[in-house]
Amino acid sequence: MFQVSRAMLQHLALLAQIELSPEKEENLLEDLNHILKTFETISRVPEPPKWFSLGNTPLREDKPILEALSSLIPADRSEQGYVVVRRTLEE
Amino acid sequence: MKIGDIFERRQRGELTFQSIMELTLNNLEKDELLHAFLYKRPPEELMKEAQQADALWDQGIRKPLQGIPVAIKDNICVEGLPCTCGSKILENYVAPYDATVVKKLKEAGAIIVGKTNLDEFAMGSSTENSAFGPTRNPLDTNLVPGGSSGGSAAAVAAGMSLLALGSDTGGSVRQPAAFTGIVGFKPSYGAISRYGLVAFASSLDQIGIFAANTMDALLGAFVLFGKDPMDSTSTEIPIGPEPSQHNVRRIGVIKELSSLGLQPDVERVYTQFLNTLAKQYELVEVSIPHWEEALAAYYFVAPAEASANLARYDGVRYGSTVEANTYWQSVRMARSLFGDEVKRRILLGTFALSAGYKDAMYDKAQALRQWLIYEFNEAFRTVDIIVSPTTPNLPFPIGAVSDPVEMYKCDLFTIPANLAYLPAISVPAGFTGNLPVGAQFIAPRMQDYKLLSFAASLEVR
Amino acid sequence: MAYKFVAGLEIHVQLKTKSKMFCSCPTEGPDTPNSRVCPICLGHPGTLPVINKEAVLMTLALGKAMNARINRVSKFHRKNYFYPDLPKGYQITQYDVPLIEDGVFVMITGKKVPIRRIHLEEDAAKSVHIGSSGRLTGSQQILLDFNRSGIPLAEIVTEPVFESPEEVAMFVEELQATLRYLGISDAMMENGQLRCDVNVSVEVDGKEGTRVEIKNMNSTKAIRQALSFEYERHVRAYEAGVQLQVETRTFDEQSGETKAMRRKETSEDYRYFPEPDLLELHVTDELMEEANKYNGSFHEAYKDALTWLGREKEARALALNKEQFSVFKALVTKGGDIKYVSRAVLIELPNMLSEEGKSWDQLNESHLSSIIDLLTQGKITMAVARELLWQTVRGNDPLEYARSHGLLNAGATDLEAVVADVLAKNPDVVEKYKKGNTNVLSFLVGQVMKQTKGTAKPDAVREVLIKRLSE
Repeated sequence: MFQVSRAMLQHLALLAQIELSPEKEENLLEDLNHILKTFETISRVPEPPKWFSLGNTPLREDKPILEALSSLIPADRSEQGYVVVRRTLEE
Repeated sequence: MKIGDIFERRQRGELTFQSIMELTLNNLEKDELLHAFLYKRPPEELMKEAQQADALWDQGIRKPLQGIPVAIKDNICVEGLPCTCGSKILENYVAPYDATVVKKLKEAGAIIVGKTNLDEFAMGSSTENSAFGPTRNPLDTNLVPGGSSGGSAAAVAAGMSLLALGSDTGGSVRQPAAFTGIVGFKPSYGAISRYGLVAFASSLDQIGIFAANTMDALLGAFVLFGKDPMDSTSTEIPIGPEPSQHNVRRIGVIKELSSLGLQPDVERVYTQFLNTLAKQYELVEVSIPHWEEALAAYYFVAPAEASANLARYDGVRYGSTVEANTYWQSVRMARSLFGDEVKRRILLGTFALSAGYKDAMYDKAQALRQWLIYEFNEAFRTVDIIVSPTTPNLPFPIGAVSDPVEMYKCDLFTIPANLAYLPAISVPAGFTGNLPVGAQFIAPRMQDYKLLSFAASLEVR
Repeated sequence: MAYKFVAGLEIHVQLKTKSKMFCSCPTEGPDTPNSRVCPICLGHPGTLPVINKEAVLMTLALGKAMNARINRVSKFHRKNYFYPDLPKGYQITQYDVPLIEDGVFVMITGKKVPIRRIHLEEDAAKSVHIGSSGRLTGSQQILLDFNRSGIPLAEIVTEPVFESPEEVAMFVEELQATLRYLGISDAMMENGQLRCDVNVSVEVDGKEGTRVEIKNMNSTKAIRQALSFEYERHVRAYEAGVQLQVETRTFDEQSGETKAMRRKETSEDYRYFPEPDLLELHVTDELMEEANKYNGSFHEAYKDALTWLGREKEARALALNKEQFSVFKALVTKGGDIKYVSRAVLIELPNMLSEEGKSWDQLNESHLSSIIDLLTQGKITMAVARELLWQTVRGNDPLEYARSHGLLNAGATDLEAVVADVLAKNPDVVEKYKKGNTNVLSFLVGQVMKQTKGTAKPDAVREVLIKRLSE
């Protein structure tokens, strides 16, 4: 029942921002469908009798701390203290 | 030699931490062939720290891991050292901070020898998926050491460190421990802070300890355990520096395992091990009906979490960057540096979470996880501890397993403990020829101390 | 055809905590880019989030102010997408179980605005686009400042119940005031502390219209303009039979128009799943109690203002300005006459403050209070009061000033003598008056006021003058 089509794989690759060459695509389709077939038993799992919880998340006191860490922003990718990236809009 | 014995002999003046470090440096020459380390600290620095440890000892200062050489898996941050995760994408990344475990090790007086090899982002069971080449098994260099923490396992097995840290998401500490004939301990989820451990699958990841014996692993746990304000999922779990009364009487043997295709050699050694156990303990058959399907749950939950955890590697703020015309192009080019297994899992995880499929995959996997937790709880009503082989197979030759699913099945016995948040340990169960077989013990959540005390008592005997 | 404006809002509010949502970096400090960052808010490998308790308390307080249901157990999720300003490749937010649900905000008009949910999340980095024109479209590069990355945000989602652009703007004004009285956000739209996305559609003869999302409105004025523009655009399209697009549009302040935004290159599937690095958020009774420390109320302020001023419009205007209201309230509480307090706080001071470039909180309330006292006791005239208000605004002690300049004791000077002196000095004017030009009287009053430095009461001056002139 779990089957990844080529179009689906391309959609997933776009979501994950992973570039696939045509032959990589071929290999991955084969691998993924093999893996999915092996694990398709999962779809038959019934509702469990109870849901276990790891509990209550701790909350932090609102105390500002600025650690002096050197080179968090590497000089070769910054300009006037800003991190520089290429534009997002493709013409 | 146990760490405790080292301290006793240091006290009697029979050795120094410098002599221990010299021995370690000698053994480190083997790494030329083994490739357990991706980064080794300069010998002068190591000797200097050993000298300081001796000087402090002479001043009467005693720390729990004073002068002890330890190795750190290269997905755990040590300030100022590279942290590559075995990936091209972090090839030049230098960690700007110490992981909580590293802080604790330093405070405990340990000496960090270097950063060890791993499957890229801890995804794998053989340490062959490292972008920087595989690690070899010290027991037979044609074989894999297991993985993903194969470098740390090999480091301890070859005497290149006395303790080593690994990370265990589905067996990545226990399985390589079994393959290299040493002890590998994965604590209860939350026992050791994950702050500074590069995430693979956050709800399953747990830092684990490699040691030549259980006593040393216990000492490591004593240093590393504790709730950390930097890790919201960490919690206080009792532990001590030395074994305590464990009160284990009934040991559960899992009924479903008989159908899971153990290699005959593994089965033989494991059966002998059970027979020995039976002389002292009551062995009781228990059922974990969803044991086999745990593998399926794992292969949806772990990749799903990984697909998000690895989204930060876009080359913008750190890591390898690629020059391109647009942000999107540069991100895709940077991310093409991921290896095949990482890409496979990211895509699988993206699929498991995507609209229209999440219900059938991710949500069902969570349901199965709940079943496992429930079934373990039921089993622990009748037994104190559960035993199984650590792996279904023996260490295999480098390059022998190419089918990803075959590789995934290496973790068939180790995955359930991760999914159920339980502590588990792999200890040497015996040999077949020169190859080791590991036995795994699993305890109820938070009963790590009992588990380690019990495993230590087996060694004394 | 009958057209009806329909809008619902999604509002992001930066909470005024001292440290960020999931790490301890300060939220305030020098504006130097990337000076308030750490491995956590930069999304470095191995880092983990820990929830800021104060952000939870502030959101609880907002939920209480809106009579909402507080989920005693809520969850955080990861919202997955790539963008340069998003360091982890996902935003930690709340999804199926937010902290707050089902509230209601009662506007001054009496309109009840249902609040669907309020949830907590983290802000992204700030992007500065640079390029030839300095505008987004020409940008070759984006500059990122991660000081904003990880600032706590409360996202407030209303039901689509707004019936006019004006109503939306008024709601936003009242929400801003509510946040400020609670003390949980400064809620300035100009600097992004409050960001309002509006989903607009126009019903045609009761039939649902095409829904469009409008972003980037940096003031309530911009909201009014953008939504009016959008309403007219929809109506024109329906009249002309043109199909509208379901899309996101951005408001351009210069042209006063909305424009379609470029589509993001990725398809939108956020793949929400529970954030495994955090456990469930449990709201204990202790937290509920502690949240009560944020208890200032815009609606209470409005009630007070209405009692003082009587008229709804004026009362709303005063209550909307928390600092102005607080000065007003302090003066009234100290026994000031409402008439004088209104004149000072509603008319004189706003102009003076804006002329001096100062703010309400820089005013010395006890100084103001003493001026009002003098007025109320009849010891100074309004003219003197104005002069003293100026001194206060400039940071001087008004009492000191009044004493040293002899401005106190209105009416106590010898009016008769001054009047006699003024009449003696202006024989020509007196002549005109006596010939029947009574208009010159005000000139003479002015001369007397000048000589008394404004301490004389104008009515009394007029009276004495008329008496002397008729002799």
